[in-house]
Formats: sequence, structure tokens, C-alpha cells
Amino acid sequence: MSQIPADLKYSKEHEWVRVEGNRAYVGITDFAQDELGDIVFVELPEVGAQVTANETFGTVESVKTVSDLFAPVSGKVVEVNAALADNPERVNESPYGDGWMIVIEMSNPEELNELLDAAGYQAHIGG
Amino acid sequence: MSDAALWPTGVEVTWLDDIDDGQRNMDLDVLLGEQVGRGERPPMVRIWRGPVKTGIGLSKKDVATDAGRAAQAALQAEGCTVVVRQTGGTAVPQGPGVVQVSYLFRRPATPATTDAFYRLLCDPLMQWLRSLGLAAETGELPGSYCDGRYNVLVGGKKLIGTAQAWRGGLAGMASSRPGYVLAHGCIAVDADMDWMVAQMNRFYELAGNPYRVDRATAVTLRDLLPGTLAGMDEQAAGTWAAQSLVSFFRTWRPSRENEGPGRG
Repeated sequence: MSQIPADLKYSKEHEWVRVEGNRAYVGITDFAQDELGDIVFVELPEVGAQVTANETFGTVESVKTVSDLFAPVSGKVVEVNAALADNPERVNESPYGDGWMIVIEMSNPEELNELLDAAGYQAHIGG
Repeated sequence: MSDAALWPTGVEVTWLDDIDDGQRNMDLDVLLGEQVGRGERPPMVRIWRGPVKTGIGLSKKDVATDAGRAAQAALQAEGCTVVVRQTGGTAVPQGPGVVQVSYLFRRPATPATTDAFYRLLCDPLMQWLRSLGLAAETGELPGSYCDGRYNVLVGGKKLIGTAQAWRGGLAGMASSRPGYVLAHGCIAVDADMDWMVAQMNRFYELAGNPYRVDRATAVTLRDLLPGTLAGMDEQAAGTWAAQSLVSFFRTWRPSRENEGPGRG
């Protein structure tokens, strides 16, 4: 059964957000990493890049398949998990921990209201 | 959902390529896929030949590092065409005798696995090979270029490589966003695999990547059908195969009698 931490927000497209002040940590959910299979590559933006909610910010590759990643909130990328370049499997091993992808300094925190809570995400994936 | 249910209605089978510009040729999949995803054109099976200038096709992963980009530039400076594709995996051959099949379908509204799309791609390709008198199967082949579970093998050697890209959300999952699925097969119809495998291995050596391709795992259609391709050069062989594939796909439909399409 997929882990769905209660303290996070979720997009319907399986990204999670952990809010710390005005900063949003972003990754993909346990359900998503399990469905994708072994992740071998994560393409992320540069620090300083602007991202927009519901627009792509990178890609992830598994089973010779590249998928789009979408930003759940808008703002400036202030941190990137550089460890994923050499260790993309961390997304599989620890999707909510060492497998985080980017940190966004939010420009419109009200976008968080558009995201699901844990119960809503559980219902969304049919759990 | 059965594999056959993933085959959309109104599929357009099109031969469309730009053999003088290898990167543009590759990037046409993106342009066309985005149009399919937005509903501006019907879902399509694109048949296309590789560029006139031979070389290799890499994935973004291959050129994500400084060393990878330097290796790409080094090969290009030596006259090897190097293009970067949207799908995953590792290096594949590129040239006028390498024919590609790209499915460009809108993302399915319900979850569908990448395995299902691989089967939907490989099954007709195996049937096409069977129509040429060749028995094919899918499976992994360690040491082969761009290895994966859905290599198409003939006589235990790799003839076709496959890969995918899902735009508009994560692969295999439902998404409310517009997007498309690109399922891509790369068929080595007629190519100097000694040279191409040497280029792949040189790329990975220069990039500081220990991955290597074993030449003995690769086969071409010319190796398998020398009589059929007699008298044709690489470009003519690629053109012949592209024509044959267009004819095949214009009449092929997945079997809806069983769980999936007919097995090759």
C-alpha cells in the first residue's frame, strides 16, 4: 500500500508539496514511483529558473520511458536535489525524503488551495 | 483495459521525414505529437527514415553531463551525426537504412501501462517481419544497444529497439492535461553496424560511462534478407522498408478478440 504522509499536499498528477514557510519542497509520490518502476534519470531545472503551476519543470525516465514532471505551484527554483544526478534511484527508495526534487520559493501561495490533502489524494488513487 | 483498446480510431499512417537534417527529423515527433495531444491532428503512425549522414541517436540522459556533451561534440567533429531524442534508453543507430516507427497517440483518459504500449508497438512489427518470412520475439539481450524487455529479436539478435515518451504527465497514469504518448521503434534495415557500434562505444568511453555495446548482439534486415535487398544501397533499402511498413500499417488493426493484439 502506498505511503501518503498526512502533512503534505498533493497534485492529481502525483506530485507532492511540503511547505516550509514560503518554500515548497516538491517530489513525486510513493504511488507514482511504484507505478513508474526503476527510475534511471531525473532532469531538473537550474536554480533560479521560474516555474509555473501546471506547467512542466522536468522529466523522469524509467523503463526506457521519459515522462513529464509538472510544477504544483509557481515561483522561483531556489534548490535542486543535485544528488539525483548520480543517484536517481533515491526517488524510488525515499520519495518523500532523499528523493525530493526541487524547492520552489512560492510566488502565489494561494495555489496550495488547489491541491489535495492526504485523504483527497488517497481517494484520487482509489485507495 | 486490453492492449487493443489503446489503438485509437482514425489513426493516420504517414511517411514523413527530413533525411537531410537528423535533429529536425527526430524533433518532428515532438511537433507532431504536440499537435496530436491538442487534438489538432488525428493520432498517427509516423514512418520515417534516418538521416543521410550516418551516426547515432542518444537520449537526454546520455548528454546530461558535461562529459556527455563533450563526447557528443567530439563525435560530431569527427563527422558522426549525433542526434538527441525525446525517448529514454541509450544510443541507437542512425542512418538512411535505419527506419523508425513512431506512434503518436493522445494520452489515454484512463491509466494504461507502458508495457501495453510496448506490446502494441512490437506485435505488429513482429507480424510485419513474419510477412517477410522472419520469426521474431521480444526480450532482453544484455550487451545490445538500448537494451530493454521489448527489444525485437530475430535469431536471438537485436533488430529493433523500442522506447517511449509520455507528455502531459507521468507515464502509465491518468492525467487531465493534454499530452501524447510517443512509442518509438528503430529498425536496423541496412547499416554498417561495425561502425555504428564503434561510435556508440566511443561515445560512452569519451563520456566516462562504463556502458558498452556488444557488436555480436546486433543484426540488420540485410543480414537476414540478403536476397530481398540485393542491389539496393542503404538509402534504397530504407526506402523499401518504409514503403513496406506504410502498406502494412494502413491495413493492420489490433485483434480485439483476446486480451491483446495478435502475437507475432
